Parts: sequence; C-alpha cells; structure tokens
Amino acid sequence: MGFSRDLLRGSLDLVVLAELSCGERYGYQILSALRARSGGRIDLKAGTLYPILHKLERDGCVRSRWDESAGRDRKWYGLTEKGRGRLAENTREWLDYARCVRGMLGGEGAAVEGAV
Amino acid sequence: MSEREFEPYLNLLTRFLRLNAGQREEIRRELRAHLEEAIEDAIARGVPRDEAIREALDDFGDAAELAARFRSVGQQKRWIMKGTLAAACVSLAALGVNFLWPSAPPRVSAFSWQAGRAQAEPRGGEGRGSEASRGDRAAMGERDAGRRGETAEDARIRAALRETVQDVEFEEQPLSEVLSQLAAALKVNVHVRWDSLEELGVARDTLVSVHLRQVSVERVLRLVLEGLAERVDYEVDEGILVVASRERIRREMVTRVYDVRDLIGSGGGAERQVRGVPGGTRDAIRADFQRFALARVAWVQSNDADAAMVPQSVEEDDAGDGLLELIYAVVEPDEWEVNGGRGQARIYQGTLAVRQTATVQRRLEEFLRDLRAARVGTGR
Repeated sequence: MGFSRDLLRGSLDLVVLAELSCGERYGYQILSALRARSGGRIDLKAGTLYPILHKLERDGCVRSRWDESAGRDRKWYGLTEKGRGRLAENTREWLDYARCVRGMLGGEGAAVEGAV
Repeated sequence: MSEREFEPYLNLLTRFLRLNAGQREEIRRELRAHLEEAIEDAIARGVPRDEAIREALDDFGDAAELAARFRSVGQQKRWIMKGTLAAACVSLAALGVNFLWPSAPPRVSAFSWQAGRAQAEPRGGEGRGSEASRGDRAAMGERDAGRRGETAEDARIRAALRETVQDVEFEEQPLSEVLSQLAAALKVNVHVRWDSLEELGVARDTLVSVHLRQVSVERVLRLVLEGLAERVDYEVDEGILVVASRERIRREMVTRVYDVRDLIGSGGGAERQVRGVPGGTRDAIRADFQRFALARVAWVQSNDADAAMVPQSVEEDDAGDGLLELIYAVVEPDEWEVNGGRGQARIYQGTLAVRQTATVQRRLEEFLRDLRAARVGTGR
C-alpha cells in the first residue's frame, strides 16, 4: 500500500534528488523508477513531480537538457554540485529526524520494529 | 497517434502559467512528451486508448491547480509597501476633507468655483447638461456597477468626478477648505487619512493655489493632490471618496460584490464546440472545464460533420468552486488567503463577494470581463 501523502510531503525533494543521484533521468522515468524502487509505495503523480523538478532547477540543484534522439523528445535532468550538497544535507536532516521520532516512540516503536 | 486529444488541456495549462513565453513553451513541450509516452505505455499494456488518455491527464490533475503549483514553488514575495507608506500618506493629506465637516458656504472672495454652477452645467455647455441625460448615465452606471462590483453610490461618485467644471480657482486656500468645496459641489462624502497626511508634512491648513478651466472634476482633484505632494491618490469605495497616498490605498482592503450568475449555474447561455474529441478525453476535458466554470459546453457526439450537440450544464456549487479556484490561480495569486495573502472570496447564490485591495479588485474585474468575452456563441 502506498505511503500517505502527508508522510511523503516533507521528503519529495529528497527522494527526487536521491533518484537523480543514480544518474540522469527524464520525468516519466523518475516516476517509474520511484515506483519500482519502493515496491510501488512511493507513487508520485506527474502533476506533483514536474513542479518539483522545475523548482529544483530554479534553485540550481539540477540542470536539464533536451534530447531528441531515440525518436523521442525528452528533457533529461541531472544533479549539479549544489544538488549533491543539498541531497547530502537533506539526507542527514531526514535521518536525524527519523532517529528522533523513533526515539520518541519508545516502547511502541520497538514493538512494531520487532514485528517487522 | 494524434496529439490533438490533450492539446486543449495543454492550452488551458499554458494559459494559466504566469511565466514568460519561453518557459511556458518549454513546460508544454515537456508535458506533451510525458503524455505521449505515458499513453503509449498504457496502450501497450492493453488499456483502451480513451482510458489511457484520460488516466494520463488525471495524473496531472486540474490544469489551474497544476499551474498554481508551478507558480507557488519558489516564488518570492513582491510586497514592499512598508517603506513607502510614509510617502503615501502625504498625498492623502492634500486631498482629504473630513466628510463630517458641515458644508460651508463658498467663500466668494477667494475662489470662483461656484458649487451651484457646477451642478447646473455638468457637461460644460449651456443647456446640454440636462437632468434627463444625467439620469440615463446614472442608470447605465448602476447596471455596469453591479457587474463591476461597485455600489450604485460609487458609480454616481465616479460619474460626478467625470463632470466638467467651467472654471475653478483657488488662491491660497487651505486644503481642508478646498476639499470641503469639492465635497459640497459633488455631493460626495470625502474622507481623508489625516494621519498619513501629517507624516508627509501636509495638514488641514496647507495652502492650495490652482486655476483651471473646462476640465473634469477628476482632473482638478488630481492636479491639486499632485501639487501638494507626490503619489497622492484617491479611491471610491462604499459611497466614500477616500483620499490617501497611493501605497495606503493599495494596502487597504475593500469589499466588492460581483454578479457572476452568467459565469456559473445551469441553463441556456454559452456553448462551446469541441470537434473531433473522443469520448474518454471529452470526460477528462469536461471535468477540467466544469471545474473552471467556463460556461456550458457542447460536445460533438461523433466525428461526423453534422453530429448532434449536447449542451452540458454545470452544477452551481461545483462551478462556483471552479470559478474561485480559477481566480486564485490566475488573478494575483499571492494576494489570496488560500495562498498566504490577505484577500478572501466567497460565492453565494450567484454572487461573488471579495475582500481585497482596490488594485486586485480591478484586476479581478478585468479578468471577469475577459472570461465573459472568451465565451463563444453566447447568443446573449
């Protein structure tokens, strides 16, 4: 079952940057890759992804290029140095956050983890 | 595969994107490429074409919302205001006469603008300014005012401002006196933001000198105001002529109501033809159009030249929401509470009530006019 939108909301930039760290991707491809790598649990809508990509590009975290080979018109995105930095920073912050929340969950958290 | 099926959606999206032409075209190109690939993949999986198109469009969602999302990411706030407030106030000082002042009799010695004369010859010619034509103008003004969101009184004040005066002369008259004369001549409530004026060093007894002939009252007003300080402006709102600095006016929230029954609600009226659109895409586009309250839509049942047209009525509630969303996405998005601003809008039984700055109200007014004009074959 897919993760709730509320949960995903804070980490959309992060997962997109993470996906791009594996190499250049175009929009449609990013959506498929995220679905595949998360076992279908991270299922972004196209209408969510493209504004994010455009913001990341405006922020200088990714750069894009058009490619009309392979019979298709595609806009490819790749991480910039700034993007790599942002990814590292966001990752640290997110892991820190997860650790913190897990700590607060105390006994409950441990019990659920044990069951997994 | 024909691209035409989703072009209307892309057209709609592009229209709502508040970016330059190059950026809009780039987004359009990218989304078109995505749609083509997504649809092809779906068809390859065995999904019927119409359904594939509809699903691909659903994955993008509402065009106006999508456009708003492209906007909202990373936009910088434009509002400056605070730094220039002081400058604005001065302008107001020049023009404001407290409407609570009793209408003082004209000081004959100091100026020659005779209130009585201004009333008798509104068009600046003997006998041409008849009461009848004034009444016509007032009536027309009222009807347009309803559509423009103003009260009848506001419309009357605007009309009065457009009247021509024969001769106006103030020789070293205190500002308060000048404005008092104005208020009396126009039979208008004039209110001044004195605090803003005082900050600019303009006071009730600041002297005014002006001599003009055959000009509109509005022109006199402007010249007097500008003569005292920069950036003075006035605004007509809820039956009162308010004089203030431009920034102060821009900041003030005013309430307007607009009659939008012709833009939402069912029955009769505009119909739009969409030719050669297959069923699945029709539904997708129709869902979009319904949400945007772009009037009633007629769909071609088949691709035949003489196919039947099906008028599609729009649920008033949905259409009302659609119109609001459209406004939030297209008319100064940052200024609405839903987007973090201060403005509010509600629709109740075909009436759109809006609390916004006068500037945004004017933009909204223009937008509603454009929306009405964009409808095809109205027969209204």
